[in-house]
Amino acid sequence: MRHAFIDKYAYRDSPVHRLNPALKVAFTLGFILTLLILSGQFHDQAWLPWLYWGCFGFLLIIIFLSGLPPLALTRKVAVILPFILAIILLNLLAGSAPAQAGHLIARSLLSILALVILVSTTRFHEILQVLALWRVPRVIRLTLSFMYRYFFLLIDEAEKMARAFRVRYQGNSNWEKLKLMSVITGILFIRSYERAERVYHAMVMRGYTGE
Amino acid sequence: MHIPDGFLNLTTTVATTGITLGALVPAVRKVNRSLSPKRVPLMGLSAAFVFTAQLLSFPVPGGTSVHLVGAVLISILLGPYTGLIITTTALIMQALLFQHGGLFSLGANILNMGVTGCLLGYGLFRILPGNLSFRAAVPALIMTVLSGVFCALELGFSGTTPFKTGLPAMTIAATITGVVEAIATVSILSLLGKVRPDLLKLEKV
Amino acid sequence: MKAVEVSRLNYTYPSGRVVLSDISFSLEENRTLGLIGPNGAGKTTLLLSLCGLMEFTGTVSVFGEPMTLKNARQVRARIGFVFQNPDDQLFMPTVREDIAFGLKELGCTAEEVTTRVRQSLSAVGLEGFEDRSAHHCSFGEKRKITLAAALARRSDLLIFDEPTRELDPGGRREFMGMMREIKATKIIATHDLDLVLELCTDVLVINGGQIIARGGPKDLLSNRDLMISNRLEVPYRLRDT
Repeated sequence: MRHAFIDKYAYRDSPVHRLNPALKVAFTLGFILTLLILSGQFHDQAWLPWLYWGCFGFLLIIIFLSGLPPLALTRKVAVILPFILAIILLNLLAGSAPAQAGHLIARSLLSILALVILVSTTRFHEILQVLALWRVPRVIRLTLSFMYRYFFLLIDEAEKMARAFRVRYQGNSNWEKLKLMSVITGILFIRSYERAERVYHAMVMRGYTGE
Repeated sequence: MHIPDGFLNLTTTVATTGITLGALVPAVRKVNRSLSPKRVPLMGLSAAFVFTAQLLSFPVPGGTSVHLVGAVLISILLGPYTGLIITTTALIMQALLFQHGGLFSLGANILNMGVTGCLLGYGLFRILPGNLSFRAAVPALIMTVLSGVFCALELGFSGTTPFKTGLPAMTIAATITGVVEAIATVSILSLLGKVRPDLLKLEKV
Repeated sequence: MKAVEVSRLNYTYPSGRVVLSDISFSLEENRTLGLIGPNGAGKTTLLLSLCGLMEFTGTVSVFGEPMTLKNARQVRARIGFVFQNPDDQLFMPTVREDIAFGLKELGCTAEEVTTRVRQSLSAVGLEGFEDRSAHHCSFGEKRKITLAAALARRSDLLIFDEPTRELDPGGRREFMGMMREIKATKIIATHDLDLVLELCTDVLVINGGQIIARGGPKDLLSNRDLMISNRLEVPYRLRDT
């Protein structure tokens, strides 16, 4: 169950965790959008790098207040590094010195850090409440809610099936493995369908009519 | 590829978000109109399924591994509009839980993987002649390639990557992924055809 | 009054396989019925049929109300169902929302929902679990939450499908204690024959979709031939030697 605690930091407690979720989501969206606009419009201004550092300092203060472990956050932010490397590489290959590369790196790192802080201090059901408050269609919220509830179980089932396969198969053919992953995925859909039927029964037993 | 925040400029962000909303709003209306009570948990579980399938690593014959999108597959199973909503929610979840993709790049990512795979892909599936495997494999391959092309174009217009190298590199990478996506889509559908043929005949919205 | 009355109940899969044939029985109020039989006997299908979740033929009435398509909803409001797999039942993001789901549909006010959620969680020994996510709970905890969700609705009839399956012995003991405390009519489908002996007042043995035997738990469970021929066994404490 290595995925089951993917969002464990959201279940901690701190002044930042206790902030109004709508405020946190709105702030994160505003933060990322502001960076996007400013770094595009004013990339030749000398004060822009100072703004990046200012934003970074501000996020550091929030991290400090939230008591989140900096190393874990760094690890989450690092998922973006391969993308940045790929972009630099593609620019170098084209012989163009990556124009505004510094801006790109600064704003993407700051954006992802803000997102990581948001999801590490806000529980998923709180985000769903914010989406409800902002009139996001019910069908999308319901689908998100079911997805969050059940993907932990599905990934666990998939890993168990893959493990059972590895015990029996010592070969190294990627063809075989590809076919097998497809079978596992297919079975996963059948199980999801069957579970949906049982969940429906459980909902109906508690008075669900679809309203 | 999931585009993170900060990689697209404002114009591209606004344009891709606009196109995506233009597809998503009617999709939500269509799905809402025919949403039976039983369909709600089925959509939810199918979304969890797509999200899980996106997290599994599929080996590429010859080396390395890739991740599925599953948009064509789920649209063939449940219909294009349901497929688009499921792919959208899966991409939102990718961004929130794993930071694969950002918040303001969601429009572009949904356009690249959802609007292509679900709407165009399902349209292609409907008009193609031949057996189920062929009709599923072609859109799975083409739409994955298209998502790589779209991604390269969006990054190109944003001035993030040059067209000269970005376009060929991302098209090649997407083609490799597309071959795997097509093989997996066909294998999954043929497994369902053997084990639970009734699941190929679910209501398509 | 009879809590449950079933007469000539039949259910056939769309594929044509007969799952239940000619099931008739009745259960008095405040009794506990144990439903036993081998895998595939039709236990779960029978339980679902009692709640109108299967398109059966025949008649089912619960507390004198016949179960029909029209009034299924009102009849179900008096039934609490604890499903075999807690993960099927706990589908909301948090425990609070899950228990509240069944209450809002009953028309409870917000304060009443809060009170009932708290009371039912404390009845199963899980105070303060309101904001947890089901996927952060252990199996035993999830099992108790499903019971809390059923209790919160204050149902007159509680149906349990394999309630002790996958629980560790300590968890099973605790859960059986909680089941015993519930003042309601209960129907329990299970392979746990010791549980039947301890909790049930009546027993139905079903096999191949038919009722094979009915009676008191001691009489039926000590009948070696009946037990063996239906892929069951005589519980240890009822054996002579």
